[in-house]
Amino acid sequence: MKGFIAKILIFSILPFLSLFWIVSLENGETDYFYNKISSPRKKSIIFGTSKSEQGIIPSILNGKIEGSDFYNFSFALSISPYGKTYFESIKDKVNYSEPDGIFILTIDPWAVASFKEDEENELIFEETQSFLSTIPSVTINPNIFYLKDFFLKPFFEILLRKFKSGNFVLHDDGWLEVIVSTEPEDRKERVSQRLMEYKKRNENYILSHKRFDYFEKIIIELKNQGKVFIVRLPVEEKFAEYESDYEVQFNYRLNEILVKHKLNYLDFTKGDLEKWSYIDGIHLDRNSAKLITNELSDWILSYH
Amino acid sequence: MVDGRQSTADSNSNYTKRSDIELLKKDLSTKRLWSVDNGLLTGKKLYLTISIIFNLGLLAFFKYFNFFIESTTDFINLLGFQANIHTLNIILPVGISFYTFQTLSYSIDVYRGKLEPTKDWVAFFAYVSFFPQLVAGPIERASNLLPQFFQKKNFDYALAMDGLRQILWGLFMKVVIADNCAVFVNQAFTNPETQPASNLLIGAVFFSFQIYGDFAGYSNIAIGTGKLLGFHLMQNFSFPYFSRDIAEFWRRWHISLSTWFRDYLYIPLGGSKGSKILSLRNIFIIFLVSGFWHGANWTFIAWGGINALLFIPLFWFGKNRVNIGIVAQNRILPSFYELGQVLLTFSVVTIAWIFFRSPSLGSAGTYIAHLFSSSILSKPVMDIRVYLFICWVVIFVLLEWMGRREEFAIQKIAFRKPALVRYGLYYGLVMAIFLFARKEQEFIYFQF
Repeated sequence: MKGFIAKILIFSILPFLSLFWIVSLENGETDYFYNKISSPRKKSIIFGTSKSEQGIIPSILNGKIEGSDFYNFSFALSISPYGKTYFESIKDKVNYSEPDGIFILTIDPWAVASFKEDEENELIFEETQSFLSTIPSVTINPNIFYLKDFFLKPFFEILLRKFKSGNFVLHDDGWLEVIVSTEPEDRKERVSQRLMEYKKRNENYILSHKRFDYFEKIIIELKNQGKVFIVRLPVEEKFAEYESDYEVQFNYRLNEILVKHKLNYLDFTKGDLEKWSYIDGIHLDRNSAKLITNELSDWILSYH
Repeated sequence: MVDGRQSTADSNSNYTKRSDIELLKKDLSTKRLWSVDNGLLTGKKLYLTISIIFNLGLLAFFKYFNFFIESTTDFINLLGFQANIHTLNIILPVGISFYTFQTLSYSIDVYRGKLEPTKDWVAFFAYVSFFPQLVAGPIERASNLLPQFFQKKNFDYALAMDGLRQILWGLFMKVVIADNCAVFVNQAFTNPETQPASNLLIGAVFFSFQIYGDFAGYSNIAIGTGKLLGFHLMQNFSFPYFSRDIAEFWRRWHISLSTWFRDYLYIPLGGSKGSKILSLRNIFIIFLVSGFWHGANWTFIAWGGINALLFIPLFWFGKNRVNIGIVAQNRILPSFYELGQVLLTFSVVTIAWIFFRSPSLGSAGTYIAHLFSSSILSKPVMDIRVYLFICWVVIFVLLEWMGRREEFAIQKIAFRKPALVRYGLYYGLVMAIFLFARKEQEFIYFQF
């Protein structure tokens, strides 16, 4: 029996090595998040949901703000709203051995809202079902915990991408570039889909004190490591109307935190919302992401 | 499904003795099974009756209750009356069709006197719930599996290696063939009326490979796992898609179920011993019951009926046992005639599978109507991946062809070649499994 087991173990080495080699070829075109949770700890980080993941380009910030080494560690609304799950991942991702980092926390009402009847019960927040809550680390490579259960597609797609490009690229700096059709009809369809989602969310979600508490905890944690900036990204006018339902309470609570921790806040929803282009009404397109990141860099530099 | 000749069933089985079969047949035909002695069911007969009522009762309740209610309601409404009978939210226990049949086999074999009833409860429940084959077969006979629990097990290197090879092949069939075919099958069977016939053709052919890869894959994993533990489970599939007629197909497909129905239903009903009309009735019953066993839906019954209709002409003309051995037994390639037979059999089986896969008889009809339209010659409108999977299916068929004389395809493939070649093949299969695995694809037969 020993010989049998030894033979199996020896034989297993080569396929596993081959698999890890193939996974190492992943260039961000097969899985939305894999490279994000298998990259090392970072000094300066951008946090938030998909609006931030697609809207802020770290390489532009890095080019303008000397020595910053930004990385975009934003995910999606169902994965990284502010809460315990995201807080724990953030602690895992921050490089505590490098002080003087810069941290950008993006926020909007959805990032601190929860399902109406469970808005204060963090045990059943929706992100508790996500990989971020399940995998024990977001910095190991290869991240076998993610590969085993959460990798979006079969691994052969990594090889297929060498011959046929996909419809998104997760860049090395954590920015997710989504490639979509620019045909007006297609865009209209996407916007209408998003509007339906927003409507549904608006009916069922409510601001959560618990989430605001975690937002504050994250700020406190990051302030020990460097400077913290708070940003709210723009959305198209009709989406802003949905967000305005939460405006008074949201602004009141946010303002409390900003004052208490003496933080700088840049709110793009107060400017001209139609100045930017969106792929679906809420996510900025590539050009607008560049423009807004440039504005963001200048704003940060003014406080740096 | 059925041998068509009772004498063969008698001769090739060491447990279906004529006297036993006659006994059960007589019981069934004269209702002696339910008869009473002095007003009471006694002894073996009582236990058998309880076992049958209990097992079939469980199956009927969990699997068929809602179907009967819905069908009755539909029928009453069809007659112009208003009926609104409520169904229940019943959760179907996984694999119930398999272990109820296995338990029934024990009861009937004990009743027939060809198996001593065991007093060892642990062994009995280990037999009923033997984990490798619990949820999707093979449906083991007590006479084969139960005695194995009393045998002392020693590690057998050769058997364990054979088991590992079989598990590897089963995983390849499930993960690479079945699960990837499923992606395109699901597309094809969703709104078939909106797709070109060439897409539907690929979808139907892929489903034939999906159901085979899924079910035979599971059986191989189960049998291989059994071998690792020192158990011998019965072969459940024997290269069915190389069959030259439908009768041969049914001798090679889901063997444990086919032989179960043969021994416990077809032969007790009279098999092929009576008049031809009676034999036809028996054939129809067994195919329809087999269809119904798969699920509480008219589509499964239609599938069973179609297979009966395909089988009957062969039986009528005494051609149902012409093709016994494997095709091209001593040759590398089949003759053109054999190839034509194999392709024809595969085609009719594939058309019957459309009923098996479709959610309703109406959608199966729609699928077939659109399949045989002029757009069958058009270029399929499908993703690039479909061509990749066609390549996999071709490789799969080639490996199956090369190993068709064995229990499973890669059992002895490359044995005469250098070890490097053999291990290269295993490495290739393992890598294919790693690379093509999809998330959480359940086995189709778990629902049965």
